[in-house]
Amino acid sequence: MNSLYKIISRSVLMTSLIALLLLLMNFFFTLTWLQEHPQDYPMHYRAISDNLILENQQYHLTPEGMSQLQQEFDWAMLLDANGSIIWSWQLPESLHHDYTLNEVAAFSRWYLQDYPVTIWTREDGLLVLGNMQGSYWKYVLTAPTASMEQLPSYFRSFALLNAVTALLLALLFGVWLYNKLKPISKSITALSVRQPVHLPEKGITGDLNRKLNNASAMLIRQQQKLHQRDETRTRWISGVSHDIRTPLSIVMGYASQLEEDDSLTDQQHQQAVIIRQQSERIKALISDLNLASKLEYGAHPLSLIRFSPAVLIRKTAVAFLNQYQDNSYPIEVEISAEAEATQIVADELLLQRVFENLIGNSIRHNPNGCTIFIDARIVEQQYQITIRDDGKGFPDTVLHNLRTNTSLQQHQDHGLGLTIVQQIIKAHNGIVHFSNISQGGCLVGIQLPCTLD
Amino acid sequence: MQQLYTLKILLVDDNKELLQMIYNILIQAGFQNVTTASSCAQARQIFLRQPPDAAVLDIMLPDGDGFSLLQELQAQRDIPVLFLSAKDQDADRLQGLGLGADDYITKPFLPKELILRLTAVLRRTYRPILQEPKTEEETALGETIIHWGSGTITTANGQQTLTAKEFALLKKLWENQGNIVTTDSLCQAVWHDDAFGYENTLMVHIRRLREKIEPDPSHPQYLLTVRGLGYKLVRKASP
Repeated sequence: MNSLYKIISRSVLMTSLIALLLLLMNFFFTLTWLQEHPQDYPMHYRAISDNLILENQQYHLTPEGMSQLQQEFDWAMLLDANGSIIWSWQLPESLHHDYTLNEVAAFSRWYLQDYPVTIWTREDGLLVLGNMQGSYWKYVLTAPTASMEQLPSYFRSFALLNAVTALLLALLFGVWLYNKLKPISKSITALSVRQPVHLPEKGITGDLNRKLNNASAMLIRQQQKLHQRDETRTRWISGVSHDIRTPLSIVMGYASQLEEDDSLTDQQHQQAVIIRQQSERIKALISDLNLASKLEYGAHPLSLIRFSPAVLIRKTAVAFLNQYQDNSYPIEVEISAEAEATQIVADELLLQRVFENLIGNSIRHNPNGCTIFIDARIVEQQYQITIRDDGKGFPDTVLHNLRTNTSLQQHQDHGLGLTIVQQIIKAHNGIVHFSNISQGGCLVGIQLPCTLD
Repeated sequence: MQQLYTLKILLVDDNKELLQMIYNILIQAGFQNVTTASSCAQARQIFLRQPPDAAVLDIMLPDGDGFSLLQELQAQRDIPVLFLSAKDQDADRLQGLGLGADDYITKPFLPKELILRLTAVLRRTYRPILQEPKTEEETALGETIIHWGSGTITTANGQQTLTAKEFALLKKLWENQGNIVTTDSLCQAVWHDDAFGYENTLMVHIRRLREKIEPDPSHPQYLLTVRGLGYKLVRKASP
């Protein structure tokens, strides 16, 4: 609607400006023309008449009068009161006769045998000045006085009508143009959000439409290619991680058997434990890498169910507590009554992964132990979960990366586990925030919408 | 009548080293009749000659996939099947379980996990025909003896009967002894529902249980509270 208004108002404005411009231009040219051509018009008949003097019963034209006459007229004659020629100069042959009253009345207004003439009344007669046939155009205007008096108001109405017609036409033209351009504007909007467009390639905008169609087709092809590449990459990562699993099973299997072998020395036994633990770490890394690449390229659809995050938090915390029975990593869970009663719609396995990654991260980076605090509450209809520890906190580079880069490719540093946390929360339309606490330790704040639209 | 460890197990995997390792693990765990196959064709042959009582199948095999092999084998004889696969996608797991597999283990795995899951599946399937030594019928928590068979306990004060709920709670805690059990799992075990709305009732039952098994119920030594999370049953009295 806004653009319609804009186009129409501009169109009207432009039309008005053009009309004004044309009017001014015409006025200016007329004025210039009138200024440049006045000497062409014979108007010194009075001066000529004054120079025609009666001397000794003979009419005589002074030299100034003659030069003036030659300049402006081709012939001249003086008629007395009876219509007889009493003086003439270069009078055409056919005009050499007396003139009746009727003839004088006729030529005084129009032409004399098609010769344009100008007359001047003198005391002793009528001076007739003539030009060659076809050299001047004479017109006599006669109109009722009443009509002439109404002329200004007619003129105003006429101007108003002109203005209204121009505006109306401009408006119509604006609407027409808008209608023609609307599909194009719509298509460009669609293209900007990667929607395919197809416009009819006919009419005034046909060429433009064809180009838009081409652009759309190209965009779709590119998108498909990009998607294909992402898919290939995801499949490749998935394939590699799949292939690593079998050899890793063998390593883990034998290490774990060695671990239980009583004939080994303590040192060897310890080494077997380390092999097994590191293999498990590789296992976790592979699955992180796989998940991260799938989340990055949107190849991991969320399987949404309604569940209680409180139950999931307890379950995950307890799994870690049972694993670290020496109480080196105590976990304190605080869940508000409101949060306890709230269920959300989310991917439960992925959310469990979030909690596991965060708790696991705290444990892995604080080998001397730390206390982990998990808080859950409802704040402004958001399920808010805070996971913090009193350990050594995130390294600055990791924090920087987490805050600036959201894309997997840009991640120079490690911290795949935290990237996955970011990806999962983002996929749930949630917000995650990583920071360090001034007293020491890290803090991860998560906000999830209670209802996922 | 058979023993659990005399049941015939068929292993199918195309990786020879892995096959060998799993074979070793099962033999070490005490299984006596383990056969291996590295392709669908081999598996079919063995299935005809010496029908196994259970099978552990890989999904990606050189001459077919485990899913269709499962359907083929189960059409002939209904035996429990475990999938052991490098595919960790939920979709694969669900497909495997949906086809009637009894469990789905993703590689890499710990031998212990495989043995535990396999024996659990075997016990479930062959319980009626297995001659197994009865599971521990009595448990001692310090002075207190729990008789699982009769659902009673004996303390210095004499014998007491456990209510059904108390018994279910104690059993769940005992099965996970030494580990924390969330309030949610306990409620699930007793009321088949999440903890929400049952916390107070659970607390009442725990208190009654403590009155029966603890020498000093207000200072519990065996049934411990883990604040905010759940409860834990320990065998040795904690100070």
